[in-house]
Amino acid sequence: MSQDSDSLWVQRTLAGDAQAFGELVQRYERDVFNLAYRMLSERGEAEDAAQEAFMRAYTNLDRYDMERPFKTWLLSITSNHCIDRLRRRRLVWLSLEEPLPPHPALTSDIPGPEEEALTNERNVLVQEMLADLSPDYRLAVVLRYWYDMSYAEIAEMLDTTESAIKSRLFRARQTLADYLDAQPASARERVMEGS
Amino acid sequence: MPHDDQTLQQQMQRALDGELSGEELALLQSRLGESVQRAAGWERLRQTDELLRRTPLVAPSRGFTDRVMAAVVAMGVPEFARRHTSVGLALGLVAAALLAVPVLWAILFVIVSVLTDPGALGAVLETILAAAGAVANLLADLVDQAQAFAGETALLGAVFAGVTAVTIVWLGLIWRLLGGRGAQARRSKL
Repeated sequence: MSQDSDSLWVQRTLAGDAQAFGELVQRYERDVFNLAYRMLSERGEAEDAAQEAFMRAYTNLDRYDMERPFKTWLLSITSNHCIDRLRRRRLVWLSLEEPLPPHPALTSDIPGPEEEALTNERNVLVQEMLADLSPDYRLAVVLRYWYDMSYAEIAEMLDTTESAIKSRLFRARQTLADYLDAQPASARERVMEGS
Repeated sequence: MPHDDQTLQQQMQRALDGELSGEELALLQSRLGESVQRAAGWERLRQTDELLRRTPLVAPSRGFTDRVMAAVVAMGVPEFARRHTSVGLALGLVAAALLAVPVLWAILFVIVSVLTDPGALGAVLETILAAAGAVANLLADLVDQAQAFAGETALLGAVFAGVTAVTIVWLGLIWRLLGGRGAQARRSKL
């Protein structure tokens, strides 16, 4: 999964081989979808957003700077698109006054049914916690925890300063901790099983 | 004290990010131990951090890549290819404009010369007729040489047919490289 290999597929796509882009989609579908899902909390909409992000990446591929990691560029496109969707969704919610949609079951790679159920339970709780954050805070948390990005990388992606990201993350962690603390003790213990 | 609280928060954040040395971590633990409230706050943060770290990436449904690629193919010519075509067209127009400048200057010069000196018109016409005569002579020589060559070479017909075939193949390849009929149609829609 090296950057060199990504650049090779990008160059082939730019040379007119559309199927070469399929290699990049396959390689990063999970990363892009996960970011969209964590931001939007709804599986169907997350798939639409992930697909749209890939399409935008494809049509703007000649603007990609090969000196930078392709994954970061792709995640940046995805996060911008998700923020746009959240803004549009907020307008719709304000007009319809509808509550958040329920969380559907999530897929997992873990084979055992009990472990899978626990992972799903954990996912649902984490998703509820993330939904409690503003989109900017949520994005910082997602990039930090699921993509292991440094403060500097997150700051660059979100076009802000490193100290702003540090502060944003600390407040986000406090909010998430308060949410977790407000859960029944049994639910907390269950999702923390094995730690 | 607010300053102390801020420092403590920064240290907790650094501890969660794994940036504290063993000594710094021990110092933090000792400060947290001074207050039950602080210790509980730290434990909540630590649990939250642990939960987030243990929550895996979620995958899209099966066939996601295929669906994306179907959409990509359905899109047809990508934007970057269109942009390249536009850039090529723009460069061609610039080159044509640059070439047109000296030609226009020459035409303007002739017109001004004729208007200011009627005698110059005759000189210009003489020059044009001389050039046309030279070209006609050159063509006549070429035709003579071709006829002589045809008389001497029985294979001329085969050579002519071969050159024609190669020319058609080359024209076909250039047409394909430019995107063929589909690209022409798409360009006409832009």
